[in-house]
Amino acid sequence: MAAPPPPPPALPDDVVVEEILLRLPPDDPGCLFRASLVCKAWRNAVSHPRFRRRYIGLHRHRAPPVLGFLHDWEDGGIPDFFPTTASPFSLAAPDRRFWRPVDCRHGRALFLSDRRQETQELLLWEPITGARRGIPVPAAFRCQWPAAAVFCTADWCDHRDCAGGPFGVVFLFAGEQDRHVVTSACLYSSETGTWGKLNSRQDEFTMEFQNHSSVLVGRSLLYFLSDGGTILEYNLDSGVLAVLDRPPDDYGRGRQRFNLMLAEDGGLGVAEAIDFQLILWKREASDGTDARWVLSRIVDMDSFFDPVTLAPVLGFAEGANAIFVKTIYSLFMVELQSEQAKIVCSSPGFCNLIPVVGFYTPHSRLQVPGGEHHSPAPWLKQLGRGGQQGVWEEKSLEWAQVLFDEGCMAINEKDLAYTADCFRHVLEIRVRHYGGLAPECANTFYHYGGALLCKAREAANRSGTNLRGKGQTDGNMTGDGDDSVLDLAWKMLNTARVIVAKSPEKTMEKVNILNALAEISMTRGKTSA
Amino acid sequence: MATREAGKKMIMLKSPDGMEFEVEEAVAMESQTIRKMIEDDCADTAILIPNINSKILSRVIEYCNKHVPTTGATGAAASDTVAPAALAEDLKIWDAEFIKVNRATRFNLIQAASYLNIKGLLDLTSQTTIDTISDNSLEEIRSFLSTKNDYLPEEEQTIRRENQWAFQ
Repeated sequence: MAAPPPPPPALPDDVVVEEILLRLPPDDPGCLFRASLVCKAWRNAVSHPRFRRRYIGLHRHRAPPVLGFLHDWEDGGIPDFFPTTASPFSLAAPDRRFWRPVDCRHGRALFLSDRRQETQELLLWEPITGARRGIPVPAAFRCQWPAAAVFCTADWCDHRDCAGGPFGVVFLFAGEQDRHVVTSACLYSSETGTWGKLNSRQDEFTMEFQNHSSVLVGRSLLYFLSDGGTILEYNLDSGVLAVLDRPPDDYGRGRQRFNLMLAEDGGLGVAEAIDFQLILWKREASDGTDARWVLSRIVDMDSFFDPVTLAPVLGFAEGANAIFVKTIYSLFMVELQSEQAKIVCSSPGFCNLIPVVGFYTPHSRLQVPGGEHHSPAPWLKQLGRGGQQGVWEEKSLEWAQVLFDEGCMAINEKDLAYTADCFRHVLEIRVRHYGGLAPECANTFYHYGGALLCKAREAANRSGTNLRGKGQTDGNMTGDGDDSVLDLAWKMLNTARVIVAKSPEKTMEKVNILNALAEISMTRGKTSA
Repeated sequence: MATREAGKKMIMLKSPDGMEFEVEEAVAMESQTIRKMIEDDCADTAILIPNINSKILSRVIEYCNKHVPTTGATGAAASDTVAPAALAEDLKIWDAEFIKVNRATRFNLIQAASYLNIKGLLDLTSQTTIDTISDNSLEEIRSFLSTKNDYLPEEEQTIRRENQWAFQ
């Protein structure tokens, strides 16, 4: 009865190519790059924003990989970005002869221009997109060895793909005021494009920050380590700058042999290299008394490589929970969870490593005016004319539309987590571009709120438990974990309501939004009863 | 055309070449696409599966049959009697045999798994393909997938010059 089946197609179509390429391992990004060179269709497939969203979504259960590190070692034969991946990989990092790397977090790396320059500047570089952006240093800064940290400031962000979004920079430097040594910090916001108030504290001596990058604990505490071994805490909310005590010298020479890291519980930790062991400390508050250092773990390293004495710990990869440590012969990367170590290179150089962590997908890189061998000034001027900034904004908005369509499709497929994720990204981009209460954002607020509501409803149906129960919160979506998905849905829908209330003609939208808000109220009523 | 057989609800799936397959609803619902149709009450009569010929559809059903969480006559899950680890191992061996198909069939299976939204099958088919090609050179990948290099010679040259690291 059946007609003979049609002959199978000889070539895989776009769907098949995408599905296959999505399975390439994130910790070997060179594979994806090489795949983009097979033919133009493949290049288009892997550099499409949709592919990136799906790639990160498919690998969301694993920690983002360490792609490599930035450094300021003077050996010209070593590339500016040094890969730590299984197969060859490269990123076009800024030339370290002009730019010293100081920090990397949330898909952005931060560089400080050479101190021999007449006026110093900061440079923000996104390793995945290749986008660059200049930031002036605070006016009060005079040439020294400062520290700087960069971080994403988007609410509800899981930091897996937030490059291009709003960010903050903290700049920390020593100076002199009324014949006293002071250490000062201030905060830059990409949204206002300005530095905030300078917060200073008097210290006994001048602190320099050449050898260590920062650690971010939670959403508001940044820690820095001076070259002399002083730990400084900067509170992003209050602006307070404080000095912390060091871990005890129980295991011998401490001081310059340790580095900051995140402890297993997400709090501040310290990794100390002594003889053949890594001593891991964590900062713990107990019984309402002041926090103190407690020993968290000792990792024996002589089982990984020949028993040669470890040199200082060079860097900690936030998000990937790995540290870099060297011996007199080689540089190693140690994954702290599995306690697996691998040799990264046999050069014993390097003094400060800035690990680059994240999911790489090929990106049609923006043309960077000037090129990597030019000094900072020429292209900073171009930025001033709005050249690259404009391109950046335009790209973001295009991306937002792609993600929005993607979210609408995902909701039809009932992939609610992905839907909410898409709409959240769209919202971040559009709010940044148009402003939080702009009419252009109303629809996105409504869709994001609606997706969250569906998500909360689905979670409640699945578990049959309280919608507002703690177990229902989604750390990825809410960030802090205390706000429930439903609360966030309410906030989004209410913002949509406020925006459309201003336009007399949007009756249908108003009805839809009020309906959704009413549903949340009823759900809350039921669960609290 | 949903019928009942030994207490189990049956669903009729039709391929575009006219073949009909009667499968348990639970088996068909391994496909999220079909699950949605059933849940939305769009599946009273036979479900026509476009784009997937009978040969591929029968393989897909074979996969779903094997992977559907089985329940015995008493309603107790089969995994209660068989150790979950052994069950997983058994499935792994079965999968390895299942995927021993030619290239064209495998691509068709990926397409079908994507359309029908069957995550396990999609992972299995795509991962197997990527494992086969990930260590190969560009030329080998092109030849394996019968993909034509459509970069112009000068484009290819530029790419090679600017990304020497990728060709080491």
